[in-house]
Amino acid sequence: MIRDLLLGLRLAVGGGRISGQALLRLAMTTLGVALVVAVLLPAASINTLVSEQDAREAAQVPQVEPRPGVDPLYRLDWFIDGGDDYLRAVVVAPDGPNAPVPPGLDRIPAPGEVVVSPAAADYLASPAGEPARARIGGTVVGEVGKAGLGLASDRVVYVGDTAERLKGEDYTTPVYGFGAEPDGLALDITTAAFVAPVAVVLLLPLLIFVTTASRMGAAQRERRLAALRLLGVSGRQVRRIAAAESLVGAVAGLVLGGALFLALRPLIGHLDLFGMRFFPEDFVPSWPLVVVIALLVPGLAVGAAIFGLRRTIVEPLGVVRQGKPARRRMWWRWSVAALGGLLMAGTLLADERSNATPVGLALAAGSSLLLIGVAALLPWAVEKLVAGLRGGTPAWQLAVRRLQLESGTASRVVSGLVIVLAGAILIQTLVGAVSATESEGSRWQAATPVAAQVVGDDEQVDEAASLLAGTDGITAVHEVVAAPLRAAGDGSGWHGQVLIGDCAALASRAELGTCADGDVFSVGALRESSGLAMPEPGARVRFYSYGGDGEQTDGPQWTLPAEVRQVPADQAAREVSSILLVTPGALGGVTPSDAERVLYVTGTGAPARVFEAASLAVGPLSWEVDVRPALAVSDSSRLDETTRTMRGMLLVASIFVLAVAALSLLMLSIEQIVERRRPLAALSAAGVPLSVLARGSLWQNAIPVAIGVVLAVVAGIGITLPTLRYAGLSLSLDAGLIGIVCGAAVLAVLAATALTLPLLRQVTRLDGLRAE
Amino acid sequence: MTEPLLAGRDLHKSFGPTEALRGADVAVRAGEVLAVMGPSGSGKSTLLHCLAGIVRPDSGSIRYQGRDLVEMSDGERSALRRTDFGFVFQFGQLVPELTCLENVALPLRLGGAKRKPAEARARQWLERLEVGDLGDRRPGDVSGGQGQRVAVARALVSDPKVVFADEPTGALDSLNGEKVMRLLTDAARGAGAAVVLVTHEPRVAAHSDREIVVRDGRVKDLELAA
Repeated sequence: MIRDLLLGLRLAVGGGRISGQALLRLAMTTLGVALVVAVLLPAASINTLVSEQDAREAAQVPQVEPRPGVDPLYRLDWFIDGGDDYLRAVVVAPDGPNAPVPPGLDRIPAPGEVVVSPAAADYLASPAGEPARARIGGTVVGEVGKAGLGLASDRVVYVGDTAERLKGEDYTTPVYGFGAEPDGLALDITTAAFVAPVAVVLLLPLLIFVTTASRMGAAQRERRLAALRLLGVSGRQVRRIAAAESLVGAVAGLVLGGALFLALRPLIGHLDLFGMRFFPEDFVPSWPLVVVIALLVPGLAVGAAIFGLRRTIVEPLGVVRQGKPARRRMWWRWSVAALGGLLMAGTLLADERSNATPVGLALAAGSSLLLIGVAALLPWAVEKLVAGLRGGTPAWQLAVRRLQLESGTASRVVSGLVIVLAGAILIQTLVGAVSATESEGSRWQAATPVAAQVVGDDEQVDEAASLLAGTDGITAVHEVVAAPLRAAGDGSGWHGQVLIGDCAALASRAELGTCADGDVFSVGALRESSGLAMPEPGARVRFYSYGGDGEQTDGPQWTLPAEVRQVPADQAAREVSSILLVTPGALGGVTPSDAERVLYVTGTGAPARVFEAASLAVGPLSWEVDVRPALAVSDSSRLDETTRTMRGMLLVASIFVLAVAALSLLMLSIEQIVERRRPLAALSAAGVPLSVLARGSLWQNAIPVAIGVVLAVVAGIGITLPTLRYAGLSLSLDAGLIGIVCGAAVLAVLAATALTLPLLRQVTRLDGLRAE
Repeated sequence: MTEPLLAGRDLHKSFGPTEALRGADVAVRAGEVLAVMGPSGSGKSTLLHCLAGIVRPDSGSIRYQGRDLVEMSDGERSALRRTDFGFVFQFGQLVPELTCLENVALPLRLGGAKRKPAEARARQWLERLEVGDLGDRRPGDVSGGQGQRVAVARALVSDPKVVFADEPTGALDSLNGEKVMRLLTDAARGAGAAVVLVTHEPRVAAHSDREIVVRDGRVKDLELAA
């Protein structure tokens, strides 16, 4: 047996006399296996990646239970919104020498000292980080180590302060230690529902590529095996030799894939995915999965080679192919597709926007199974459809007859394209739907829009107002009071918010028209999406507040005036939709119980610059006030960036997979031309123009692709609809995009056909006629 | 003496350092069956390829109905092969994915004929060559002898002036070879087509009207000299 395997290995490398086709097969198998391995190894590392991050984050969880002999470390989480980005600052102050040191820090920073993570340092050094830099102040004395971060992209700043200042703050917690049990891996079902089909989209074409590559040059190999049979090699030995031949490319691919993974791993630290960067050293594949990959992927290549011989009887005097191909087993193909379809259809029984785990799992499994099922059914669909094709030009006839004779291989190759198309439709539609939903809502802005909101305690708000007044670029600072309000009664009715301010302040949030003290305005629909109606004019409502335990405490009652003016939602800022705008005179002396003072800052120039000016102005107050950009300013740019990142990634993945599928198609075309060089040369000798043969080749590639594209669009929309329903998104099919992706598939066919033309030209020369 | 239908004069052709033809003269008269004989590697197949316009000789001339094939472009020669010439090779010339009927009809379809009349005519030729019942089968499903008869039908279906046959029975047993040769020559004579038959077997050459022998790339056709 070892001798057979060694002979196979020797035949594969050819002792320096390797033929061009065998070399191409070896190179393609190696490349295909390497790509599969290079994709699978990072996937096999996700478990380690998540658990490492989980363990570090768990080690950072503060423990607030007092411990004997340990002094408390006062800690205040301070979330700094930098306009375009966020930064997490932790203000710390030890109340004794034995206070615990947070993970990732060498020591607790003293007042005026700052310790920053690498990502935070980069951000603070950039122009965008200027407002945050002004607010944090202090001197940077160190770097937060990996133990203090979850991801490499975490922007964390530890700011030293005095215990006296922190003790009096509402949100300060005394910490006596750090560390908690990791939560363990919790699979996010919604993520799984989106990620599972993406993984199928990426992997299946690669696996198809590997099987196609390992079966390349089959005819030549079979003739060589027949020669070995003549020398007394048995049929079983022939299979072992063939397996060993394929093993060379598979093992070479495994090594190359591993090397690719190791070489590219350091670059992962520079890869920015939706603002997330990972530690490259966290990408360590788990050993059981590495063993599975090392056995499974080469096994697939070898299995494909042996499977390819199943209908071929290698005899000493040549190769015999069984006349009638084995009947295609349909049961499993239909079963996979039907199971996928049933799972997807089953989710339609669940409530819309249902976040139930079984629904998510059913979607993840259903969409993956449906994609695989469609790919598995494609050969059957192509066979059935081409069986009915008749007539046409000689080129068309050559293609159709060829497909009627054997369409399975072409269909298998095309199924890679189908999966890409269907998957791209799913992902792009999801991205489009998310973007459309996120960008829903009013885009109304006052002539001088609110650029920043400053929130804080009474004393700090007063100080902030005086700091803002007279700042260059800031034209007005309006003060409003925000308070929670609900319908009077048992608390089961409408809950909302009220904004109390003078007409000028309220006019910066909505188009009020005429306004006088004593007026009340209701913004948006009278009935909320929850179905609860907003209070009618004259209705009794009650202010309330939240206790430390989250319990509601009733405040004073208030009766709405007889006239409440309606402001359409599209004539108010998005964030004030469905709330009441109240001038102080309308309250009749009632004081809300849980009021939050907010300063609306407006100014000249771009809102981002006004926000920057406001942040710089209130810098001296550091963490004692919260400065936020107006929602309309920040959200749209963040969403655009996320959408751009997603589209960019999808485009790269689509092009990669399309290129792989096109390469498979090219290999198949080369294979078929080489196998048919004799009749092609004879046809050419008889005067058949090359263009007829080339068009035949084009049709032969194009027919399965056309059928595949139709199936892909149907399957893509089919798996998209239930997923959108699950996520509560509305369908917004991008016909242009589907056209572009389909066009890319057509381009792949044209490119694969065009690249075979030189070979076609070569085999139709005299050499092809003399080759035997 | 009438002008020959096809005449090659002083033909030279080399493949790298190998001189396949070193001054060959040959004439083919309308309707005659000419056997080109010679040992293996003597250059007889190269001579056939030159005469058929498949390859261009390095020097010399090939005149067909008053036109010099050497001067023609590749496209013109392809068109000529499609309309005026037919071909039968030793094996592997039928398109495996097409049925035998479609294979025979293919030259007519390429000439612009509609499918139905082309296939009707192809069926007549298959019957004439005694393989009328094979029309719906693919080449891979018929025997070697039957396949060669289908190839002969395809070569003759477009009423060529000349049929080039390169070792047409080389892959057949003697009985089948004999039958194919009889059918080929009878059908060609019946259609008024000349046949240029390359063979090294005297038994096959016996079906010809005239023989010439190629040795070391040289041949002197006495007909041409006359």
